[in-house]
Amino acid sequence: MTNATRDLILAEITKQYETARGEITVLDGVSLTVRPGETVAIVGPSGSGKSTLLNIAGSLDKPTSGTVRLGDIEVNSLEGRPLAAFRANEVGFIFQDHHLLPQLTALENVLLPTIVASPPTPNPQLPAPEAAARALLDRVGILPRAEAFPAQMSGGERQRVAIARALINGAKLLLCDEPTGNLDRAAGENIVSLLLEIASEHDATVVMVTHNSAHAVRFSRTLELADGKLKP
Amino acid sequence: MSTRLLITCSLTHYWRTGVAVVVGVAIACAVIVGSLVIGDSVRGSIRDTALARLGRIDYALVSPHFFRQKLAADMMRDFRLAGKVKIITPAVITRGAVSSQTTDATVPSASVVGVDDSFWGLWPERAKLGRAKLGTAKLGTAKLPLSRRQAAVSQSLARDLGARLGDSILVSVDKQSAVPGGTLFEKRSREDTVSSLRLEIAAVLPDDGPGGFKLDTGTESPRNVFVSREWLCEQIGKPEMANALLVESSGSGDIQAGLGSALTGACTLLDYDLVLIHSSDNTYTSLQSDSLLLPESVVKTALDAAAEVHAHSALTSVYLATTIRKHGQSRGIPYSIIAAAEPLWKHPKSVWLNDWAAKDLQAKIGDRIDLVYLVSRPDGSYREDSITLTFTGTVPMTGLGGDRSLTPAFEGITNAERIDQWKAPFPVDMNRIRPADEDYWNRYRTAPKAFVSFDTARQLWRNGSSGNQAGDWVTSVRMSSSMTVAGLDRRVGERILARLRPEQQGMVFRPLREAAIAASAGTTDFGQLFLGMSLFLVIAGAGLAGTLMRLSAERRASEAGIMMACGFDARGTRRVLFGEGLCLTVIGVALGVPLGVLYAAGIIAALRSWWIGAVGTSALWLHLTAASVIIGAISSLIVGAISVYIGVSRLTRNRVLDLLAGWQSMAVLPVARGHARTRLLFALSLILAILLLVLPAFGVIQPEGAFFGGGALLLIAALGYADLTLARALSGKSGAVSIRMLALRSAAANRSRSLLVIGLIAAAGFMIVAVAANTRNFSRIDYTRKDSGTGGFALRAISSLPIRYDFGTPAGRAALGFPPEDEAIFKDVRVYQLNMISGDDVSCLNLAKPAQPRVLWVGKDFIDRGGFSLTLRGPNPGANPWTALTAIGADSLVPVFGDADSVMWSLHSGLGKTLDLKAKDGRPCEARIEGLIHGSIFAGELVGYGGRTVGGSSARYFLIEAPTDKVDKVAASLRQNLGDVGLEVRTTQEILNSYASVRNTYLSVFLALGGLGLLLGTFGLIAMILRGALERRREFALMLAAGLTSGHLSRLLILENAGLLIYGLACGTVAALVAVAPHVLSTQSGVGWGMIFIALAIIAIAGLVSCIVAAKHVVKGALVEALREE
Repeated sequence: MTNATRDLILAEITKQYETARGEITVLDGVSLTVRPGETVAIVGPSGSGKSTLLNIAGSLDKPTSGTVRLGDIEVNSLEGRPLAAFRANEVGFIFQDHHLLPQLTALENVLLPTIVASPPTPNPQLPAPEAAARALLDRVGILPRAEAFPAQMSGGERQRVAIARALINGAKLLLCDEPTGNLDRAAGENIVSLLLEIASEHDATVVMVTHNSAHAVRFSRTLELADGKLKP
Repeated sequence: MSTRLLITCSLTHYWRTGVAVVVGVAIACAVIVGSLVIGDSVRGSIRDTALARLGRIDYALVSPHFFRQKLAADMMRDFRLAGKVKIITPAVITRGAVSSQTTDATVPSASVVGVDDSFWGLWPERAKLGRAKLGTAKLGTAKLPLSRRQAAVSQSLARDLGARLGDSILVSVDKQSAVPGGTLFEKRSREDTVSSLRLEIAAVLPDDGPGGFKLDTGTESPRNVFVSREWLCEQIGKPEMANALLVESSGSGDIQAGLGSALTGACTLLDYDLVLIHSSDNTYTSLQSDSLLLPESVVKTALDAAAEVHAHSALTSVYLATTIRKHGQSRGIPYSIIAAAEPLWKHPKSVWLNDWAAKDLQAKIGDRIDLVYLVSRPDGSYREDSITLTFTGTVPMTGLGGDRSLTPAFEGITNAERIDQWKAPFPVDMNRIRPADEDYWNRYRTAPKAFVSFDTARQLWRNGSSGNQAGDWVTSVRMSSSMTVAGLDRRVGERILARLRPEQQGMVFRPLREAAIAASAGTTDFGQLFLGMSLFLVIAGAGLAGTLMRLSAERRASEAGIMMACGFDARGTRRVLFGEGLCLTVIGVALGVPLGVLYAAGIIAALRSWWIGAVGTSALWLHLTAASVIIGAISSLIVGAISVYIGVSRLTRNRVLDLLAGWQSMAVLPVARGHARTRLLFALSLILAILLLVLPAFGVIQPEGAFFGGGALLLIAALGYADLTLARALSGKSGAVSIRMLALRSAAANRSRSLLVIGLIAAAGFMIVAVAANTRNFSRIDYTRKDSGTGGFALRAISSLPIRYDFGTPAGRAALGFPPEDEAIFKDVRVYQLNMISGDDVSCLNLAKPAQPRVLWVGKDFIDRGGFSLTLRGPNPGANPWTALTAIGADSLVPVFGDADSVMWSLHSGLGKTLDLKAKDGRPCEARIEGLIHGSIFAGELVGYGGRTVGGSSARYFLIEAPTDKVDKVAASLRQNLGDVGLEVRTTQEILNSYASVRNTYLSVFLALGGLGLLLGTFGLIAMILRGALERRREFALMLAAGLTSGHLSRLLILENAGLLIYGLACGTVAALVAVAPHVLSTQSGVGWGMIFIALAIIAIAGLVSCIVAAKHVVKGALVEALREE
């Protein structure tokens, strides 16, 4: 897949929820195209649907209407194994709450996606998953903590592990849902810097939802989501 | 807002969880209440059945001898009974064998009850109709009272015979000879001893009414045949007699004492089986008995009475000599009465002949005279023995020499007109009778021809009898005085009656109603038993409630956090949550009580049908008592409250901030702790287990206990190992990530929960395997082994009627009419005769509390033979532990052996404990349990040593050794030839299996209830998986986000939980197999491996299915939403 064909295209995305007081429209015909290597920050007030948009973009949620494409892949029509493979290989998620498995060490958490993405026969040309994971941990600066459990790590360290995990299978699209939301300002700054650096190194596209305008300005494009609409 | 309102709102909002908690509490409550109600029901049913079997009969007297039927009417005239007693009705109660002429079925052991019309008045009309209906015959009493040749049979008997109304049945009953068994004068032939009565069934009576009439307290339904007493008495030669009195009381006070006094007052000599006979010359009166011999106590009473009225008294003993001859001669006087009578009794070696005999023998003073007499042998044959005495003098025919009154009446002899018309029970060679003998008989009848000393008479009675255990030898007490004989009769009769006590002659009124109520307490408290067997269910129900309550509380952790942030202290917060739980508990208990009654009704129905083997009776009904319901409800309330408290108490120990963060934050953090402690526990339990398994090899401890302890310790070691493995899994050194590794890590991360699952499943597996390994099947036992439960005997036979010949000998079989061709069958067959003193069955087949245990008295031959597996109280006196029975200690306690299980569970006794029994002669004795027999055919009775005189015609219990290939033939021959005298033959395997079936049924009940508990536990397991899954929803969502499929998640959950399940089950099974290994290896019976396999398979399958279902359910939800739940 060439860069030209790896555009992330969200077209006329609508998301409605049924509630006791009737139907609520969270996203109202949102369209967005993100080019490969582009970094996009999405800001907006709480409850504006930023996370919903990100989840739809990453196949974690389905839109009520509209389509999501990543290159040739029509994301919202994927089911079953192709969907799992898409999540494993094409997208890397980084969440506000870092979502690490408490029973796995940092290294093992990074290796989690390799359960499904490891090739049936190892390719000698590629580094072994563990070596790759260690390299990523080294890159995010926490290799010495590789054998630590999440409970033994700080919030910033956990988020670094989450970044490494997002990249372990070579995903070119990183979807970040307020990854600095639970971190102090300095740690948040560091994480954003690291994220952008690594994305650049890996030629990855980054879409990040954030409340923090200081972080948003560091991205190549900033969009605001309000009243269900995405505005520049 | 108040706490109450807060609780109400919470209950309404979280009603779904509430329902689940209520279900858990309701189940626990239902089981507790139900178990108590089962206990009530079994007790109540035994009592009701026993009382229904008695009708309105309150007291009964069953005498060892017959008495006048008029005794009942005479007693009723006694002023002491006025207003206290409504009816006293005479009856004849005896044993018999019944066969149907229509179906050819035979019931060898039935009760034949001769009743008067007044007997039917002792039952209410509705009881005669009964509750149950019989398939083959209609119940009804239309033809009561019974006329001659009509019979009313009990429902059970009709069922066993397959008989209907109008069918013809043949009843064999004993003719009830009063002559002691084993003596020369005992009648032995079938025609002399057995009456065969052909009867028509006129009514079938319900078992819970008069059909179930029985005076003992056993729970087995009796097989009764009711006939007219008057007619029965005629048939057995006891006209106008009875051997039982049945009493309906109408008042209160000490009725039993009143009955005793009235009986004493109303009894005549005839009622004691005594009679005063005038001598033919009216010079004296003679006290005699139908049984020929007077008991020593009666002799003493008569002598004292005579002394009191200043009468001269003299003892007399007569015997029969087959020949009186001069020593060395072959011919002599045949069949002569010889007597020992005062004053000719002082010289032991002397004999006096009457003039006729002296002349006939041409004897001279100083001649040696042989008295040849017959000796009765147990097999029914006779041998001749003789005693040689010195002719000391003659007795004139005008005095003692011609006194025919010295000989008591003996039917068939004394009433014969000629000697050749004798119908003697012993062999008489009529060819030896000379005209002179007939002439003597014509002139002097039974006048003794020879007189001997008392010592000689004693010797004759002792040597000539095989069954005269009491050593009685006096046949009459002659009394004379200056009074007329009639006057002497009256006065001495009064004095004798004043001195005799009915109870000394075995005539005692027993309070039946009291005994029935006392026995209904039963040998086992079924309430406790079922509570014990349902403990898994109670724990599972309470555990389910507690787990759900905890789940609910933890789900609402943030609420607790809010409450505490709002100023509630931990106690107040807990109180609200506990209040909620308590409300749910109360609702659960309210639902559980009626459910408990339903549960009890279900178990009772099962005990009457599928599990009838456990109780042996279908006469069980639901009985409710307020006490049980209240106790059950309160206990359930406490159990539920404790479960709920445990469920909620842990929550409020957390920090407020943690609580506010919600339940998600409370996931167990994977930190390995407690390694050193666990290692120590693992090492210690393993070392101890190995020690316990090795030590029995050196004889230091008993293998059974050691292996059970070893197995339990192995289980603890396995749990310790699991803990260490799980802790090691958290070492963080794995590297590769796989579903299997994730499963192990997840299990390790929730270590306490994982260990709980392993522990519960392992404990359930251990219990089930250990219990199932105890099921027994004796069908393939090597019964020829003497150390087995059969003792090496192939068959056991019990006869209803006395068998007066030893069927273990060719002569005995010939006398009993066995065909000669059957002799080949009996080659290498040996029969051991035991004396059985009737009493209560002490085995598990009798639910009622045994008041008077049945006892078997064994002989020297049995002691010498040995066999069975025994544990003695003291040191083994020799190679043969049975010799311990022969040693009576200084404390005069009679040593007895009992079946280990029966002694423990039925008699609630043990080694060295004492108890009251009936000795071989029926008299009371105090005994001590000297040994326990393990798993034997003697489960229903105690065993004691009866001395050398065991056996003979008083034996009714037989143990038979037979080669394997002959067992069936021997059994068939015995049934064929002795079925009509009520010989019931069973293989010892069958007997062991009948006892084992009770144990096996209890084990089935335990397994079924345990299985139900396990099922409930499975729900708990599902709840735990769901709970874990809920806690881990975000974890699963993350995995999905990372590309794992729902299939991966299912596999992960299944691997994790099924792994715990299989490990737990394997630990439990292996530990249990080790624990029961010596038991399984030592027993010669089959172990129910099939049942064990099925039980384990059910646990495994139920667990796996529940894991799979729960896993599928968990991953089906919209997990990704969990990612948004911040």
